[in-house]
Amino acid sequence: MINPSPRSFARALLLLAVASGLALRAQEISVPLKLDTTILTQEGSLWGQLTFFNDDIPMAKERPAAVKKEPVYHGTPEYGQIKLGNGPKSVTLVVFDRPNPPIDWNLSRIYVDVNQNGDLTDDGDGKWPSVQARGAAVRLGTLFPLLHASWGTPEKETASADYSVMLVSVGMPNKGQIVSYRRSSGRTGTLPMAGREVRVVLIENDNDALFNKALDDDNRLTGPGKVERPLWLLADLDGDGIFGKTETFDARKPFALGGVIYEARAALDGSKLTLVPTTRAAQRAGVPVPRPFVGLAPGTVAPDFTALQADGTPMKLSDLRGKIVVLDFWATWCGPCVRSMPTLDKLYTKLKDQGLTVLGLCVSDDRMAFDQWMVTPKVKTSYPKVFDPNGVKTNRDNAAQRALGLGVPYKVNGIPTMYVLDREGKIVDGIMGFGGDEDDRLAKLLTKAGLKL
Amino acid sequence: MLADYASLQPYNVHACPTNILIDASGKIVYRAAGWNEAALRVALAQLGIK
Repeated sequence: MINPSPRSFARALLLLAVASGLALRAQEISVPLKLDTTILTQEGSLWGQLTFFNDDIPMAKERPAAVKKEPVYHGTPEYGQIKLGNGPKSVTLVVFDRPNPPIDWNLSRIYVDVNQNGDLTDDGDGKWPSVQARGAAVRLGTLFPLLHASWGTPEKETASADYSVMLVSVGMPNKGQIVSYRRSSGRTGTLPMAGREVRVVLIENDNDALFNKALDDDNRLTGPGKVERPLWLLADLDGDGIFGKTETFDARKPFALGGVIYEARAALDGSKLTLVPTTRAAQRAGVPVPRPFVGLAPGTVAPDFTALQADGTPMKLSDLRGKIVVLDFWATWCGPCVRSMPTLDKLYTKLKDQGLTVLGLCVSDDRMAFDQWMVTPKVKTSYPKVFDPNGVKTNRDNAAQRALGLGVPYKVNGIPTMYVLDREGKIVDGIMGFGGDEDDRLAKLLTKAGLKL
Repeated sequence: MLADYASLQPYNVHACPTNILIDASGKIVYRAAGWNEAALRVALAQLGIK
């Protein structure tokens, strides 16, 4: 007879505990979420706490067929709509009564067909709660109507809710007086985690009341939405009633909660949140959402240019044909550019024998600042740097000169911007911004260009 | 070496320019990376600033 020793018995128990613990932790969690229509209003607990993305409401002079009855307008009506959800009743009419000259903004009205009956006279008097007009800077605000959100298919509504949005009208330099809106509702619930109840909030930023949003590992959308707009998941992990930076996630990408990495699967209408354990890499909490790259498309021939080397002699981009080129748009005053240089230099040193070259193109800067850098750089690098002779600091009001800058043909809208060019001088792809040591976007592009890291 | 840029760290600045709006109570109410004057103007307008 062999009796298990107390020690091995204890070890077996421990193993069992660990195994069952793991099994327990790796389970799917599903919770219902309730709609909170005041959470992002001026009275709400998250007012001013989160970034937001407004959408302009496109306005047309032509009256849509859905309009059945109208008030007497003071000026000229402009018709637009807000779409919330994807169901048959997802569209609500909005009519902007724009005063005729001589303009008195106090006469402007905003009619929102909240009950969706096409009658614009039975949803309130259309008055803006506040009118602030000083010259061209006009602000008409702020309205928080509850609009019908409809989910399902275009033919059949399977769920609906009153979803609050914020409406405002502002004067824009090029567009004139526009009407713009954003969501002011969120979904809330409690997540059972390690024997505790964790308060969670789910908020969409596309102002479309759709919550089934996701990004793949290359930050491509796998559903509706816009890449740069997060689906916020806030989780009060420490129970202090505040959602801190480390308790804020983009629910479209995997995140770590209580030591487990989950993917969020939210119902279309956000009424249910399911967390599914995954082997994908987790995002860091509080990290900004990916920015889409809005520069030149892959395959485009990189526009040739002439820039000045440190000694003042010109060089052309096309002189580098035959090499794989990282074209780095930077400036001496740009902190993130400077911080990206050690990483860039490391990649250059490692891969130059495989035919990689880096060209640091100093844009939007002063010649003196560039010259100073070349003598006493803040970061020592071994790759060549050149100067854009048409560069001018962007805080100087010289739009005509700025338009000549070399960033313009490359659609640079922020720096650092890095393009990877193939040996034929065509764009492989580009990135904007520098996300720190864990930012592997450039390394991925170089792999795509055929280099072995 | 890069001490000049220490103030960028708490604000998660990844690109230039980055515009961050902080309201009177000290909360960040808007942030955007890149040159986007129109978006900044909307955000300012919503704070009641012309």
